Amino acid sequence: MTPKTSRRVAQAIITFLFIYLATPIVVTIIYSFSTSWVKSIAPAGLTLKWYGQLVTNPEFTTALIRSLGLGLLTTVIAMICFLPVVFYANVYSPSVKSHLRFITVLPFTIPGIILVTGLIQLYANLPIPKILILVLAISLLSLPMTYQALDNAFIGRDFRAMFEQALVLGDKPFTAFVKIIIPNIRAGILVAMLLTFTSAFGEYVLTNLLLGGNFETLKIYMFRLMQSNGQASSVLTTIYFLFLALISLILIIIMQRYSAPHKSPKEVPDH
Amino acid sequence: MRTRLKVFFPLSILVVLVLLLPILIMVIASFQSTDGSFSLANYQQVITNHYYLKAIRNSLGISVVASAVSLIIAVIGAWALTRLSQKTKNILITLFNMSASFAGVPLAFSLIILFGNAGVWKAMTAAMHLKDSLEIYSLTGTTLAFTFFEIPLGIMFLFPVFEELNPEWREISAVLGAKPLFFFKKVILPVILPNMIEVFTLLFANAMGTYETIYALTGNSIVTIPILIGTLIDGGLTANIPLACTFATLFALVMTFIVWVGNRVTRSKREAA
Amino acid sequence: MPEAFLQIEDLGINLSGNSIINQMNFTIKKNTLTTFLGPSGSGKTTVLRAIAGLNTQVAGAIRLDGEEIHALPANQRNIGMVFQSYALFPNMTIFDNVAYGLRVQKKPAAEIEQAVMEMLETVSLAKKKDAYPDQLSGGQKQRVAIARAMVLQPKLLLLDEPLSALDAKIRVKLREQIRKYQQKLGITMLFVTHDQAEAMAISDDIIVMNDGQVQQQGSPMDIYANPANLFMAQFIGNHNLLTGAELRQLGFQSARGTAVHDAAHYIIRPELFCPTASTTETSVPITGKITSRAVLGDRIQYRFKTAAGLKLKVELLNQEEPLPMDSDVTLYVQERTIQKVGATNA
Repeated sequence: MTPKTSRRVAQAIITFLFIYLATPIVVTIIYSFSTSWVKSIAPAGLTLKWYGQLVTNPEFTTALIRSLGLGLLTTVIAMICFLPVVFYANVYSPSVKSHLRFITVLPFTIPGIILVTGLIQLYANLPIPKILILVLAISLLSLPMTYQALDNAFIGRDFRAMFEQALVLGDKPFTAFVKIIIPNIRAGILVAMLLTFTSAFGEYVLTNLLLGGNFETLKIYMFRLMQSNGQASSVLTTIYFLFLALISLILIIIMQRYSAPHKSPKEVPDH
Repeated sequence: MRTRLKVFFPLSILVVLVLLLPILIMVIASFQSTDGSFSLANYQQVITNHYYLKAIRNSLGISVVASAVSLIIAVIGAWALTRLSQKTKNILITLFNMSASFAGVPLAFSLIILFGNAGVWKAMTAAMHLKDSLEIYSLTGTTLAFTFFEIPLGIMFLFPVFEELNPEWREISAVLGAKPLFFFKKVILPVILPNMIEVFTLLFANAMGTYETIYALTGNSIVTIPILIGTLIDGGLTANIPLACTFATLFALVMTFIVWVGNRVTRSKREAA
Repeated sequence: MPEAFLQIEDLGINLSGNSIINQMNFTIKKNTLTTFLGPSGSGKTTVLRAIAGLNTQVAGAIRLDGEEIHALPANQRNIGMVFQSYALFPNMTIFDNVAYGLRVQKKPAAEIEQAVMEMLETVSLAKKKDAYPDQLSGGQKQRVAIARAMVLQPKLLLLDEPLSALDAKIRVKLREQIRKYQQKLGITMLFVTHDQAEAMAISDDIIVMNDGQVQQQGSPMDIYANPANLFMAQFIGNHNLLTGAELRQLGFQSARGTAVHDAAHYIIRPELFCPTASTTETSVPITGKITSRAVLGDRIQYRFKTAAGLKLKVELLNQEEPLPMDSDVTLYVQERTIQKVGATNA
C-alpha cells in the first residue's frame, strides 16, 4: 500500500467507526426535536415543545443542581488527594510511581458495582451520612482519570530541577510549589478537573445503590424519565450529550493551545 | 519523611475509608450466613444454584464476545488513527475518551430510541415494509450495546502502542531485505500481540463489571453477575447482602488475577526486549 | 585555616539502600574554579546535591567558610546551583527569573532592578530581559541560569554539567565566559563535568572521581603529568600504558633518572614521540611499522607496531610529510618524558 492509499483507507475506517458510534446519539437528538416519529422514515414534524417542558420542570433543576454539586465536591476531593501525590512522585521520588500504578487498573478489578457492595456492608448501619461516603467513593473511582491527567502534566519539563532550583535560590518548598509548579501545570490541572468533574457528574451505580434512589441526580432522573416519557428523556439525553460535547470542546482547545508548544518547544538556534 | 507523610495523608485516608475497609468487610461478610455465623454456604450456593450459574454464563458470554469483537475493531481503528494528522488525532482521542462517559443510561436510551420496540429503526422498517429481526433487549442486543463503549476504550488503550511503532522499523527492515510478511511476523506480532492480550483482559474486565448499561437497557431480565449483585443488594424481600458480598469477592479476585496476567504478558515482553 | 573554604570530611551518601559515596574527603580553596571530573555514574552529581542541600541525609561533615552546613536545608545555605537542564522558570520573563532569589529575600524593588540589570549586562542579555525562556537559545538559557545564581552573590556556586546540552562551539565559548565571570566577580565555583578538555581548560584545580572515591586532586598540569594511579593514567589524556618489563624491552633502562621496575606501570604520551633524535636529552629509538593513520587536522594519529609486536599510539604535528605506511620507521622518545604511574600502584 502506498502512503496515500493507506491514508485514504484509514480515513474511510475512521469515518465508518464514527458513524457507527454516533448514530444512536444523532437519532436521539433528532427524536428530541420531533413532534412524533412512529411508522415513518422521518419524524412527522419538528418542535421545541419538549425542551420547554423539561427545562421548566423543577425536578430537572433539582437533579441538575445535585449532579453539579456532586461533580464539584468530587473534583475538589480528588485534587486534594492527588495533586500533592503526583507532584511528590514526579519531583521527589519517581520510584513512587510504580506503586501508584495499581490505581490505574482499579476500575477494572473493583468496578462500581463491587465497591458499592462493600460500602453497603460496611456503612449501611453506621451513623455516617451516606452522602459523604458517596462523595468519597466517587472520588476514589475517578482517581485513575485524575491521576493520569495530572501525571501527563509533568511530561516535557524538568520540574524536579525547577523545584530544586527554587529551593537553592532560597525559597520555601510550599511557595516554590505555588510559584513554580502550579503555574506551569495549569493546563494539566484544568484537564484533570474537567475529566474528574465529568465522571462524577454522570455517576449512576454508586449513587443509585448506595442511596437507594433517594438522591435523584441527573442520571437517576434520566433513568426514571426513560421508563415513563420517551420525549422528555430524549431531551435530557441530548442536553447531557451537549454537556459532554462542550467539555470535549474545551479539552480540545486546551490541548491545541498548550500541548503543541509545551511538548516541542521551538529550539532557538545558538549563534 | 515528614513531607512524605503529609503528601500521602489525604489519599491514604480516602483509600482506607472507601476501598480497603469496605473490601475487607466485604470479604469477611462473604463467609457469613445471614445470621452472622461463619459459613461456606454462600460459596456453595454460587456454584450449585442454576440461576446463579446462568448469570455467570451470561456474563462470560456477553463479555467474551463483546470484548473480542471490540478488540478487533479497535485494532483496525487504532491503526487508522495513527495515519491521520496530529490535529485530527487530538480531536478524535478526546471524543473517544468522552464516549466512555456516554455509556450507561444515555447509551441504553439512545439504543432503545434507535432499535427499541417503539424505536426509529422499527418505524423505518415498518414504513418500508421490511422484516426486522434485531432485538435490542436480547443477549445479542446487549452485546451490541457493549461495543459502543468497548471499541473507543480499546482504541484509547491501543493507540499509544501503534503510535510507538516506529515507521523507521519498516524502512530498516526493508533495507535489510525483509519481505512484508517477515516484518509482520518478527516486528509487528511480538510487539502488538502482548499488548492485544493485555487490552483484551481490560476490555473483558470492563464488560464483566458493567452494570449501568445493561440495567438501563433490560432491567433485570438479562441476569449477569453485576445485575445479580444489584438485585441482591437492592431487591427488597430477596435482598441477601452476604451473598452479594460473595459474588463481589469472587469477582474482584478473578478480575484482579486476569488483569494481573494481562499486565505480566506485556511486562515480560518489555523486559525481554 | 583560610585555605580550605569548602571542606568535605568523611562524606557518606546512601541512595535507596546503596552506598554511593563512602568516606570521601576533599577541600577547595576560596575564589578558585575547581572541576569535579569523572565518568558518568561516578557519583559527582550525588556529591554536588549533598553540598547544595538537596540531599541532607548524609554521613560525615560539610563545612563552608568555617560553618557546618550539612544539616541545613537547601534554602538556608547561600549556595548557588546551575542545573544541566537550565531549570529556568518558563512562566517568568528573563528578568523575573534572575530576580527570583532577590525577591525571596524581600530586597527593595529598586535594588533588585539594579542588581538584575547589572548581572544581565554581565552575561550580555540585558536586551532579552522581557523575553520568556522558551524564546531563547540553549546557550542564552544557560547564561540566564548562571546570572540567576550569581546575582545572589553565593559563597559557592555549583555547576552541574552546565554545558553538556549545548553544541560543541557554544560549549567552548561559554566555558571561557564562565571562567571570566568567576575571575571578574571572585566567586568560588565547583564545576561538574565528564569532559576532560573542559576541565583542563578552565580549572585552577581538578578533582577526579571514580566509583564514589576521589582518585586525585591537583592542578591541570599536575594531574596530566603525574597520574596518581592506574585509573588516572588511563582516564586522563591519550596514552600508551606499559609495564616496566615492556618498557625495558623497548630499550629504556631508566625513566626520569630512576631505574625502571618491571612490575610498575609507565605511560608514554602519544604526542611525545619525535621523528628525530634530541640533541640535548637522552632519546631512545624505537623501530617499527605504521599500520594505520588518521588525519585529525592539526595532528596526525598513527598506529605503530614495534618490531617486538607492541602496539603504540603516536601523534605527530601535521606539518611535514606523513610517515610512510608499511615500511620501517624509527621514532624517538626522550627518557625524561616517560611517566611512572603513582607510587601507590608501583
